[in-house]
Amino acid sequence: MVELTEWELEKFKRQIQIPGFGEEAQRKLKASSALVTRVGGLGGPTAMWLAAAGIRRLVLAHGGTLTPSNLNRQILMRGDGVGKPRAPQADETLRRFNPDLELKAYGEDAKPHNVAELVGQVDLVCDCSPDFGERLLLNAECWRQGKPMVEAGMNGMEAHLTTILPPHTPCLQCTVPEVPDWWDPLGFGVLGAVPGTLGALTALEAIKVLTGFGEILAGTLLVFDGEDMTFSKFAISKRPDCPVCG
Amino acid sequence: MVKVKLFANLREAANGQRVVECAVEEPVSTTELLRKLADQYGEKAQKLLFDKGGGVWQSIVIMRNGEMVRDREAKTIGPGDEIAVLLPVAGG
Ligand SMILES: [Zn+2]
Repeated sequence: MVELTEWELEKFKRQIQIPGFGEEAQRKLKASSALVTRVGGLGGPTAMWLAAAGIRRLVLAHGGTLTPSNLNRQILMRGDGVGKPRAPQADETLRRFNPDLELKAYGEDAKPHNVAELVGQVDLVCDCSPDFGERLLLNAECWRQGKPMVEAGMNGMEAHLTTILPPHTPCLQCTVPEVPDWWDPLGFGVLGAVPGTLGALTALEAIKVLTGFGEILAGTLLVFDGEDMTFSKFAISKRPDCPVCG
Repeated sequence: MVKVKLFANLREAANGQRVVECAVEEPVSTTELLRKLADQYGEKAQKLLFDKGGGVWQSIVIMRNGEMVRDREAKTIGPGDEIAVLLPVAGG
């Protein structure tokens, strides 16, 4: 088990103080790594809260350049960064906030050619992609490598969160065996605070999975409705003929 | 009567209503309940819930009193049940 330095004990004393968390959970975080795929409105705050909590290593995957309409939610970016690649901006923001963090930022999204490498170098995956194809690809790879995946998605004022824990829980392919033809990645609105809320919850869930602290959302779907401020929990089940986990 | 909570684009298709009531006097299947909803709210709801072959999209998740209903044809939904209709979401 890794030891905490004087600096770390001081820096994290307010969370070490939480009953049941303590130095043990902090040491586990110091020995942990996570992949956050896409660091936009959802993955950005996820990565930030993981960095703040004292995770040892983060791997980010995010292609593309910053557009003006990203700036209502992608809080790791820079106001003067429009037209520039997003991964280096996220990298710079996280390093400035937490210089102790080990960080590797890939300037492309998770794709068939890199998914095994991305998943293979971490303990846990936070799936914050805006695309079903990428999500299902990560799901299958996490299942293949036996890695936990915190699955977070939002739409308008609504946010979904669950933890996929191979081989025990249902996988993403169980609930999304097909993508409906009406689905459009840009077909809904986003108010930054909604993916921001979900990003904080995603980081919290990842911290719990990595440290064993508290109860996690394995086999449970949490739905946050930002319109009426309700949280609902639903039990989800495996699809008997699922090609990934069945 | 069953209370049905709607999410995502389905809420929009039902004129912005978060919770709607559906007349159910005896047990119905999830397919039958969604058919009633589609009849109630028209083409937009129909397209969100049913594929071109007339089957419910497999990625629509129906919760009955907090538990996922896998069997689409069993008559598992009765008066007084609370139903949630979840559409797949992938925003990041
Ligand atoms: Zn599965």
